[in-house]
Amino acid sequence: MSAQTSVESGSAGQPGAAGARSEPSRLRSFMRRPGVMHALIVWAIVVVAIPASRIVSPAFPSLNQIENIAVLGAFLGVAAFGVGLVILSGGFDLSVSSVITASGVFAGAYVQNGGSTALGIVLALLVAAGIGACSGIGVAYLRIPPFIMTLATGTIVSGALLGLNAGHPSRPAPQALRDFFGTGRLLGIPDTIWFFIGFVIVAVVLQQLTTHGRRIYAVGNGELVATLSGLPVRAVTAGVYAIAGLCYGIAGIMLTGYSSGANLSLGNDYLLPAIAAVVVGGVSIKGGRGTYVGVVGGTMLLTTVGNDISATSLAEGWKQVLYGAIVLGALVLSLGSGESGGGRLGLRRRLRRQGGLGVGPLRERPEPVGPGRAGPGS
Amino acid sequence: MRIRGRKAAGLAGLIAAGALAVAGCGGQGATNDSAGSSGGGGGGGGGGKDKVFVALSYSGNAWQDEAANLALAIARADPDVTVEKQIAGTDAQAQISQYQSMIAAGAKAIVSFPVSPTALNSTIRQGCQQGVKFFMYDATVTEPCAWNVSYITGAPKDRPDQPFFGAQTAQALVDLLHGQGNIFMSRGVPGNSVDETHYNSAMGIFKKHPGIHVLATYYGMWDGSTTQKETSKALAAHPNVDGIWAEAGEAGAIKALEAANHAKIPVTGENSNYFRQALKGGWNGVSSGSPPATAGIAMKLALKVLKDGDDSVPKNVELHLPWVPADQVKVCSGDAFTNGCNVFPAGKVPDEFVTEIFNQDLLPETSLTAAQSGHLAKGTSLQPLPSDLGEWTQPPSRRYVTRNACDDGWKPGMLPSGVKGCVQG
Repeated sequence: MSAQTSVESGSAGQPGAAGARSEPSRLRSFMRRPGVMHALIVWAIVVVAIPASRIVSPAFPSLNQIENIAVLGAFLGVAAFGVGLVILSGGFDLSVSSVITASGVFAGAYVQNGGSTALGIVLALLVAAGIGACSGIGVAYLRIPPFIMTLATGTIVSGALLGLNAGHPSRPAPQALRDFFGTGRLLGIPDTIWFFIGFVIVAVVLQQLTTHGRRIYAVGNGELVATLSGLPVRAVTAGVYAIAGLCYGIAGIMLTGYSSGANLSLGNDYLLPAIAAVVVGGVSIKGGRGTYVGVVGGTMLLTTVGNDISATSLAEGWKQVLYGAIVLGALVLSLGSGESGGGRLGLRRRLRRQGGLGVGPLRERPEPVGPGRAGPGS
Repeated sequence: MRIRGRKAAGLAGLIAAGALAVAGCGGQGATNDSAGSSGGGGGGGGGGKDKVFVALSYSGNAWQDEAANLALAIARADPDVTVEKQIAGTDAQAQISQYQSMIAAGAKAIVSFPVSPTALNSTIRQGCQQGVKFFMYDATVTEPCAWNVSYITGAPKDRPDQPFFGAQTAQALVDLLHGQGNIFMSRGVPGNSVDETHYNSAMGIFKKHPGIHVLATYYGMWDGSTTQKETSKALAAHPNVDGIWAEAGEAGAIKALEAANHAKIPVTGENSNYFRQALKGGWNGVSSGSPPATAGIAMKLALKVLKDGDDSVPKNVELHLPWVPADQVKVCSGDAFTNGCNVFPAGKVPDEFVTEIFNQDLLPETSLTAAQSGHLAKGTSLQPLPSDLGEWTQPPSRRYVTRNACDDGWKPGMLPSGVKGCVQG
């Protein structure tokens, strides 16, 4: 009980026992939170990369370019939040593309067959979350490795879509979705960008400021330790996959509106870029470390690079080689920095460091568990 | 142990569920589609009827599904055959193994969108030796025993000496720009032979016009959504574009221009309903390119060969290139292209729906219903093919493009459109 309390209260973003702290100390403490520095670096690179795009096109930098990066990055960014949560919890998800497609095709087919747009969207999102929950139950309760479980889920979903779609040509997007994600603007800015800003705010709050968010970090840092701390690890894990499914579903709805329709290849381009954005954004592939702000930075960085490479006059083969090399370089750098920031340690090593199970494992562990924890010095 | 037992049970359940799903899927692809027109054919023997297979590449793309549906609709209307559909994806190995299964299952004819022009050759040859008739639609194979039914080397009906989609649409764009301007080229799938033919023949034209500058070339993967994203990227880098030459997916190019509030510049592309509606709505350009009707025509030709023998149809069938300039777009009131109409009202079909599902000469029995459901409309029956198919026989000069070889008396050489073909001598 006391251990659980330590997770829940210690990660609440409060300075802990030290009630009165000077501002520089708070700032240092904030900066030392895992992933924060990485996120800042990624965003700094984005800020530099956009004007540096002038190298490839005299039309860059421009408002058009920024708008384009933000719109195209929004689809990836929403999906990447789901992938990021799963990776943060120590899992992995290969069903991204299938669930994006399922959501878009379901909403399109439902409305095409006379259903209301709002209900179609809600049901599509429920279907997407349900698929994610299935993966989560398999991983959490049946102990099936996430790679296998989500690969199976993705395959079954894409197979089912193929069957249920029954050779029907692409599904048209409901008019409201076309208007919103396709052409809609508010104050001169595409609705998609406004939507994404709202999504990011909700996602950051969910991940950083809620109990569930902190539990995800705890589970990602060490499942056994989290279990011993009294956390409902299985429920948290299953919930993570369900939320991830929901995010893929939202991305599918957005893409359906943007493309004015959904076909069975709607989500094909999103699995690897979403994983790359998450890792480039500073989420440790081993789980337990990273922030969504960093992931959004990673998304925008990859989208900027993709746009810049598109603007070059290189042959397509070389464009892909260059993009792959840049992503690989970013991943290697991110993984390298990820090692230094903590991540999941083996249980034996962890217990050795902690001196056994009976000494308040989380309180004395050397590495921080989440963004809210003030780190070893707190 | 209990946990292990539960794990094993869970895993077994998952595998079983997966197997069921895949079986269900295959059922949709194969078993459900295996009924003859009488409805009593059943999946198995088909009561002495000839077995015909439709082997497409992948499902989910409007063009592929419409094409497959038209082929199925034609076969289902023939009381003497049973038909099954199989989907290979983009993997040549998968299609090879499907062909082998079909041959082993006693196929009389296989009507297929070939994933590769060459990788399937040895399997096709094996099948031919066992009496199976192969009819390839849209994309082609170089194996001589297979029939190729394609528009790839085709010319507009009223200009039979001006072939190739790429060259004709490129020339149209040059004309619309009066020989001067900056353009984008939205290609199809990298490495695909059809895309190469389109691109090379288009570049053959653009290179002749020094006033035309290609600002950006990108791959839209013959998909509206990808084309939209790629066009949008290119627009951000090159807002000074004056025209776009596009392969399939052109609806995405228009949508990207619309989203960027760009001026209505000339765009040439293929046959999506959205594009034709855009041409009707003030955009300038030409709608041309691949008609899904090709698959239905290939099936009709296959059925004719099964009844009348190999020599009853030409081995190299070349369909006319659809050609609809902006000033000729006319909205249909019903489900068919009648009275010169050539686009459906917005909302009647999805934006990416490919409008060229009719062919008045070779496929008059199709309808919107057939393209969407795989069954001919009620009250419609199969119509005979014209007795003389000479109008749809590929000229020997274009043979190299589809067969990678020339007829006797011809040798490889460059055609005026910049594509490698055959010249006499």
